[in-house]
Amino acid sequence: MNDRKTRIPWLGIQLLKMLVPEENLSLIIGDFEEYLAEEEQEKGRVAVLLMFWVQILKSVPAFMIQSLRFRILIFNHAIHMAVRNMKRHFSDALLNLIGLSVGIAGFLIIMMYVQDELSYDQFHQKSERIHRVLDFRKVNDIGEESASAPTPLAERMILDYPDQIQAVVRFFNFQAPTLALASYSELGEIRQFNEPRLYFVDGEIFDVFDFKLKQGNQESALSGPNKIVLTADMAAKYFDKKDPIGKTLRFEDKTDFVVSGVLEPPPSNTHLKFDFLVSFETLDNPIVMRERLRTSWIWNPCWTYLLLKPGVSPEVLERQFPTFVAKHFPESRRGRVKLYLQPLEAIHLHSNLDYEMSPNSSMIYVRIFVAIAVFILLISCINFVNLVTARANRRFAEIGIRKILGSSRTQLIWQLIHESFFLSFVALCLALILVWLAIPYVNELTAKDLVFSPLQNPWVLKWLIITYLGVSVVSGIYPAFYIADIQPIQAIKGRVLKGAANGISLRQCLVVGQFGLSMLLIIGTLVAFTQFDYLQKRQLGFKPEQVLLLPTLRSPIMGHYEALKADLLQNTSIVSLTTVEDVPGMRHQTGGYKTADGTEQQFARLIVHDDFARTLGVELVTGRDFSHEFGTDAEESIVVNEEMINQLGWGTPENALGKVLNDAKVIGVVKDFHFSSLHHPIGPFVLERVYNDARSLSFSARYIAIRMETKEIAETLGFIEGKWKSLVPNAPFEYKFLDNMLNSQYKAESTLSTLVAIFCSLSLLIACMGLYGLASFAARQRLKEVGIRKVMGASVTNLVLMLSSSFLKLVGLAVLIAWPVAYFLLNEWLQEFAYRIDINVWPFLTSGLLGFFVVFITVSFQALKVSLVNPVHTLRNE
Amino acid sequence: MTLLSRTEEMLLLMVCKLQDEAYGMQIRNEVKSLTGKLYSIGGIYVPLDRLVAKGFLEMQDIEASGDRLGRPRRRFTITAEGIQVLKETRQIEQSMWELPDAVMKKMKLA
Repeated sequence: MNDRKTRIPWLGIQLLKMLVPEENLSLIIGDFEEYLAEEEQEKGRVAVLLMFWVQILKSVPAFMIQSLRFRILIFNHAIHMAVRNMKRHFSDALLNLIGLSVGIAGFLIIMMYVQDELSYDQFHQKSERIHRVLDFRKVNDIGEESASAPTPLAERMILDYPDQIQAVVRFFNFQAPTLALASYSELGEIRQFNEPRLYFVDGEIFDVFDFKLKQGNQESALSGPNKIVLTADMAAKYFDKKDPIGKTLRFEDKTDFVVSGVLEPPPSNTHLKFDFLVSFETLDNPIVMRERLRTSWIWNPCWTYLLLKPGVSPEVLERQFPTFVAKHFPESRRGRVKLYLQPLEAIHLHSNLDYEMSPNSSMIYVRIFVAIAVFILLISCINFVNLVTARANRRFAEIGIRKILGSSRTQLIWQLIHESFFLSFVALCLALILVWLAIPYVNELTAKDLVFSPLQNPWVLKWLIITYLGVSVVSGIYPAFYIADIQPIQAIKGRVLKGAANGISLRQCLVVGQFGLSMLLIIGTLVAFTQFDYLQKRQLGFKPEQVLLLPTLRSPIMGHYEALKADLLQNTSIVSLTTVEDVPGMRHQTGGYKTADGTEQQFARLIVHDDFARTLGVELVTGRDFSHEFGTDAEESIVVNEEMINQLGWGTPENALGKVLNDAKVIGVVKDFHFSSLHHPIGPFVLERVYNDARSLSFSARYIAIRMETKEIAETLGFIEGKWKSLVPNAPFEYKFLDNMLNSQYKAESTLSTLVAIFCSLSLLIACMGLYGLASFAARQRLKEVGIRKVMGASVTNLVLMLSSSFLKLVGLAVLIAWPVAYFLLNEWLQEFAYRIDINVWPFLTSGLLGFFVVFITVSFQALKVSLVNPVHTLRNE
Repeated sequence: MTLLSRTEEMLLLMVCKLQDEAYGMQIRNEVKSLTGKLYSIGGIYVPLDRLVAKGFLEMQDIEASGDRLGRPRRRFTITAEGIQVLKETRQIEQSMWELPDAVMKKMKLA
């Protein structure tokens, strides 16, 4: 023994203690002592100290390998045991794994969807400072809540509030459904299309938002008039593969725009969706936009986005808006205009105003999806726990032997947790494959571009790790503690234990919880489907089938309307035609109307042409439709709906004829029909006849509506296109079917109900898989009992009923718990709709019966198997 | 049959050579002086442990003296299997080195 002090620094010892496995520690420290003693004689103390640390660093990889190897040894053992157990009880293990992986896959897919919904417009660096100006114009709560503002507002705002506002960007498209563009190649080939996603924008767009140009200069691409940038897809549509920069696109057959840039494909998670951007200065040209409209404070067509300076609070700015309104808006509007600011990031999920740029989603749906995702994961975890604890009884002997051989409780728990980590890892891998396979279908269903690449998307990776750890720990800990508490002697004897009894009651709670959640999802799906069906089938009050809409706003066709009408009506397939100011059943305009006593009120309004009621299939209660036989309908006549008569207290429809609104006489009353979407109730409604001058026709006649009555739809369409082309050869012809357009309004609901249905069936499937496993376990446990009962004369039917009843009782309890919860939640959801179904008893009964039926099938299959066993086999060992 | 890697062969030979002195540190030093390859202090045990796991070496922790401040040292001894596999390896190498005379002549010239 040497009494010299150690040469190894204290820190070095601690480090070695951490790194080196216990049994090698002393040896390694010894080696270091020896090494340092030798070297010290040659090189001196200081150098040796340095050399020590160099050696430690060099040795770290070796130490790591050794300690890891020890861990892996134990983990390896756990994996061995897990694999052996799986092999021995293959079908159980398969059920267990499939259930868990389907659950994880469902959870991941829904969370990816939700994440995409939540991420809307957040990729802009300055998104928190960007706000949209809202323009509410209401009197007595009637009027419009517009997401867009007057055109000159942006210019005024930045002049009036230079300290608060850094930049303004407007999006403007004349509020037209489509705008016409055409390209002319050198060879004389013309390509013309109606573009729905073309916007005039301010040049600051690239500073304010994070949209980028692939080609072209972001500073100058949209400054100066007649400049256009477009996406690569659109460039290919008009110019094939040629470089589009410097090429021209003709707008509405009048003005040439020069292509000054190509846009990077914009991310899909933004509510600003566009294919073309045109410089705002272009609108200063009176050929493109008339002076009167350009400077109008009455018309509010511009989606206006303010970039606030850092530190400016939107609430403070909002408080100054009443002064702004008083200063700039014309006298007649001041009383009713209120301006608000809306954060950019809130638009996609929290905004459902009039004139949104594109239909938005809703936070409610996001919440519903999160709830479903958590339900599914919970159901599959419960399954896993149930099956593991049930199976644990089979492992009593193994655990008992281990205890006798000296395994400590901790070691046993660790072994079982390791097993659960291993199993959930296998399940996770399966789940990833499932997600990968399912993503294309999900994208098709939801019209999103979800990308499943866990390594590129840190968010997915995060959820994967959380899910994995969560599932492993939750599903591993309870069985681990439960099994590890078993008394060895009893375990080997195979007795039913106290602990086991507790386990079964907890398992029963879990089964109830699991089926309660499944019931909830089933009822939810049934109600959602009924509601959706109701929305689609509800009497709209008009007939949108076989009605064709041709977008005409700013199209030269309106100059030839009478000629077109005469031409088209020669075809017997075409019943009648009219024009409409907006899509009936979807949107409407509003107007202020003075009643006879001089008060003015806001009412929903559509400006239409002759034969409106006939074309749309609206029923007249009394009076007449607008007609060319009376030359003065535009100036003197209006048509109202029944609700208007109620509202104004005019008594009977006949009594209403001849009443005066805005100096125009009521000439007809139509039955109430849903002029806007079914999310809104029917209000008072006015139909006006469009003026015959070119200006009114081009502005107020946004669509020509044509009622056809034919089976030869393609032929009739060809006929209409031929007539159109003969009148205006340079304006692109385009059409939409009204019923398709109306159904697209309920896309959010329809996607929701489909997704919910899919995931609800999944959850029921998972729950049944779990129950199947439990039932088979329970049935096997009672083999001997069944044998004795059989010997005593019980029939197979008796036995099946006896074995199934315990599970059916649990399901009954689950149903009783799920019903009130479902009723409460669905009632909340239905409040969203102005027209909704009453929740009746059927979805509840159906779900309960379905639950009982499925459970009975699952359980009785196992029960039957056990009941049919010859008692000789089960009883001969006793 | 097992074919030893060069490292394994070298370490087995070192253990044979050092006999009673075949401790971890000594093997490390010997390897360094003979081949110039320098293992880190922890690192030398990684291949040695592997040889133990394969059954070619046995190990034994021995009470220590001298500079080690009472820490044990680990002595490695070769097993019968280890000697067998060394022999086999040498045989193979020798048979591989049996070159035709013509080649041998050329090698000498070079």
